[in-house]
Amino acid sequence: MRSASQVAEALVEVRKAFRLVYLYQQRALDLIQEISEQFDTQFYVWAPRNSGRPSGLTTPPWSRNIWDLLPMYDVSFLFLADSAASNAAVNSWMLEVRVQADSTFAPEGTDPDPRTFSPARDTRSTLAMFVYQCVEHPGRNWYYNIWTPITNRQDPPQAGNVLVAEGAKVIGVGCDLAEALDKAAVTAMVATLKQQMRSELGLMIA
Amino acid sequence: MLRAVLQGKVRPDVAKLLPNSSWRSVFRQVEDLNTAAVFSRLSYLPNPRPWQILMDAAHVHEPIPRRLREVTFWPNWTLEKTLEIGTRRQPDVLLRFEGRDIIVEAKPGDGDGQRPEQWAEQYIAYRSWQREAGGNREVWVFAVGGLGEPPRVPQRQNEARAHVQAKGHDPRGFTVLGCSWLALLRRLQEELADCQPEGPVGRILSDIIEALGLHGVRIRVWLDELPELMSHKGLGELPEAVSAVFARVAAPPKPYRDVEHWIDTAIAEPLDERALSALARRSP
Repeated sequence: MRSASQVAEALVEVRKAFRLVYLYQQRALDLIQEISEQFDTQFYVWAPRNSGRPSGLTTPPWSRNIWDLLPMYDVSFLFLADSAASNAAVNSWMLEVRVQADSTFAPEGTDPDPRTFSPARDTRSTLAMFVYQCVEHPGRNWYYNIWTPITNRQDPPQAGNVLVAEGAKVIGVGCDLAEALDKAAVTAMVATLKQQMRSELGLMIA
Repeated sequence: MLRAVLQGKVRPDVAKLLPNSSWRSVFRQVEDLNTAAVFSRLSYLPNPRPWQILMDAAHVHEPIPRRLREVTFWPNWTLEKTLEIGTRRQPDVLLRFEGRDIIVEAKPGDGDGQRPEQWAEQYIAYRSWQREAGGNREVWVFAVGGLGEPPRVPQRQNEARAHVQAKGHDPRGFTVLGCSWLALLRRLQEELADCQPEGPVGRILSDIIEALGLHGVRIRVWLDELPELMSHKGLGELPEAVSAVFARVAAPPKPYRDVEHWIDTAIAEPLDERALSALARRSP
């Protein structure tokens, strides 16, 4: 049995971890907003990728997965070029920014124990940006009818490739999150994706 | 908020409030509230600070500091009736400095919301109002936000001058200055760093900075700072003196009242530098 002082020591680490996560999330959210602004898009929806959103006012959090309280562990934010149009029109497009604090998440089980994950030094933190262009079946909801089925059933497109699914074309770029360290790095990455939007999707974007 | 309420700028939005609505959320959504919060507080600053802050934020070198004499929110001016457009023009603020008026047109965010044609019409309406009042003061248009990043003022000023001319007015002397909200924030933060934060000027500046923050205007932070932050003492080991306090809490000495006070203090205050020093001082 551990002593109170040993537990106190462990709790010091917990406090440090919370503070670090705060500082990380502050920067991750700024990064996401910067990307959205560089594409001149408006926020649409957000979606934790391996959990639900944190429970609401009257739902006890213990009735849900612990991971639901850690939504920024792996999260996607969706932005629309035309904020009023949550239903896609042909040639309209949507931006996804995905920030993964940790590339490891055991798919088995609903609430995996992080002790089963690969060592943190062996996994990655990543940033990915995808553009979805509606090419057919207009009128479908971007989130429910296009993004959700594509991300549930398809692997993300490899760099330079175009994925065609659910009436949409999808392109993307990604990097280690550590490479997106400042505004200049992010601007360069955005420029790469904009170039692909012009060449692969024929979208005229400044 | 007071200015916005007095000028009837909040009524339609407040009417939409539900029992659980957040005032914070309402404030964020209503740009007029931000404009009123920023510029009414700016006008409380002692002269010539309001002038200097605006000129510095717009990177304009003006050797003569000017005193702010009067502030009018949402002045309502009439365009000449010969123009084939609606006749009322209402810029956000009119700042009347010694020898020069400044028409402020604010747009949310730092996107591309400003319209040179709107500046031109405001200028023409101002001139019309001045003529009726028998005045002929110098006036500048000051655009805040909505100028793109980086702010594109000279090109847009030329566009606005072309609009003034196209509407049959003399564009000479028509000047547009501008800055992003972020540039204004940076200037305010510099001003705050140079004054007593607890003094009246510091409190006004802090208030403006908080109002801007509520509207999402704050200095963006980047991941490249993370390694340095990891060695910050808030994330590192607790100082020895504080560890000693916690050790005593674990095995409390008498009198208990002191221990309870330590615990209350430790819970109530975040463990920032000030709190840690205070705790260290209290340990016997």
